[in-house]
Amino acid sequence: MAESFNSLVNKATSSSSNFDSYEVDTSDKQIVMKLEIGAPGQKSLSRVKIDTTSLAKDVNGEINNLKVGTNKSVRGRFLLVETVVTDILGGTDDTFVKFTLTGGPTGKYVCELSKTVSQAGDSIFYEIEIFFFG
Amino acid sequence: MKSKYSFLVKTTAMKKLIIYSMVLYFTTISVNAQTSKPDTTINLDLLKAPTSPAFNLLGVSPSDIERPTDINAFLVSIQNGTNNYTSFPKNYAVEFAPWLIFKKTGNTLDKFNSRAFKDVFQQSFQVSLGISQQNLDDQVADDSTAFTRSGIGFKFSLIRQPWSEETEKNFTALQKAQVAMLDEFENRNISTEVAALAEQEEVLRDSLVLVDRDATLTATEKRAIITRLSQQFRQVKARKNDKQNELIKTTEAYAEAKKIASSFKVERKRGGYLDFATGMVLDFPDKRFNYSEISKAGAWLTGGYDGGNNNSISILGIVRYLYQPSKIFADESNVLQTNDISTLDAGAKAYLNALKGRFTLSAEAIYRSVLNKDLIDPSWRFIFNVEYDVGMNQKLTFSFGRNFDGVISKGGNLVTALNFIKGFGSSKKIGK
Repeated sequence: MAESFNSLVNKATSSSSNFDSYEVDTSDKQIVMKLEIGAPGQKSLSRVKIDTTSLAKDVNGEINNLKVGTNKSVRGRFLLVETVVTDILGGTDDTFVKFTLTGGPTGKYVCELSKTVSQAGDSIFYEIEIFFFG
Repeated sequence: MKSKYSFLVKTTAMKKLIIYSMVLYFTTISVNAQTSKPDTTINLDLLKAPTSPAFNLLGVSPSDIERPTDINAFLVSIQNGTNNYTSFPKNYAVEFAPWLIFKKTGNTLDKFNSRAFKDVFQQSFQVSLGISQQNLDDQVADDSTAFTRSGIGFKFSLIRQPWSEETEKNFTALQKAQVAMLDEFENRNISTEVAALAEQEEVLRDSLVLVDRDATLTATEKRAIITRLSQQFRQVKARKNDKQNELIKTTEAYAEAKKIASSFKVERKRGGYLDFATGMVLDFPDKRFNYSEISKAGAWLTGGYDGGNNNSISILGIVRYLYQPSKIFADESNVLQTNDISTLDAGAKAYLNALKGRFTLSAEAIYRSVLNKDLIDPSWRFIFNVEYDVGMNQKLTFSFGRNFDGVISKGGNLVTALNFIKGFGSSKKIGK
């Protein structure tokens, strides 16, 4: 019983940054990213770039199904996601980011990061960078 | 030939006709109605939906209701309530919002301004759970006569208004501060240490690109090298990110964001709203969990339109259903036993404020009934009030009401002020 309850607890890494590589092929299939933000009630703002090209600028809240480019067009490039999450008065002090990438030959890539603020109103900067290789 | 002022004569004549009609109408009412002044208040609060339906129906007001705001706090609450999962709690009360606790994402602050049903429902949905040891007299007890009662309740909004201008303003200001923070975050010259780490990142990026382009490497070799470089990159980025998170706290943008966020309150515009609450109490009289009885249940639907204070109309409506209530509203003399009784009560209130607060009109009605017994007929009460501030500390008032027993009553000074009313529409000024 205790174990099944505890399995509900957030298993995200207590970290605010990540770097990883994601394999792509030579197809025209789209690479799509998703950015989910927590905890409920927190305020977030995000920027997404591929190399120096902006894909999304100062987006409030979550980002759903953002097309990054085709497999062949993103090869050798870097995707950078920068997010600031500000803790809002009341509720939990936890902040959380879940990044998902799909479309490559290896399937879904998921990265979960979390940090707990020490005081109400504090902000955490999250940074996720992905290198597309083939 | 008609005078060019003939329309004025007509207008004056029409006003008199309207006033005389009003006099005749109200005089007729005064003949038929009792002359006693009606009680001009209807207490809709007694129909009001409870804050926590489970605790209300259970008849206990736990001084220590657990209100966890995240999954960890919820688990700790359950753990404490069950003595580390070893026993069923005797007295326990918890209230929580499942979607906000179990669904970690999908409800960022901006979503709380949404009026879409899915967002409104998920964010407002609350569950209240209570367990209490009580005796047959509904008293909390801990002796041999006590048995377990559990209450479960739900409440949620169906319609809500968007944020107020003040909340929108604070949200925009917070957003502006966050944009400034992201700009600072992207500034690698914020410190020499960050600049050095950013330089290391550039070197690693170049290395990764070179490896990816190297046609002499097999796919396996390439993956192995890229994985190793990625690990190095992750470490450098973590150090840089930690440093940036530390330095950003000294910026004005961070302080501004913190100031707004630490006092952020969600207030909504005035307008329409609709809320629903329901709950029930389960008794376990044999102290066995395979046998239970529903001892009480209730449902409340509350809605209306909040028009504000000036030159506006506000409406409030409540419908309440109760099964085996502690007290039957329609049964003032306590004739009925509450066993297997279902009651339906409803109330409504309308309030109009106009002419910069000088004219107010209000109408209130309340209905009560017992659904499954014929001993008590449904009854209703209605009150209508009009008030006009004519200045100089004088008010023209009229009230009219019908009581539960069907008796009509009226009050106010409208009829006695008829001579005063005749002054309306004339050019004669009222002196001080």
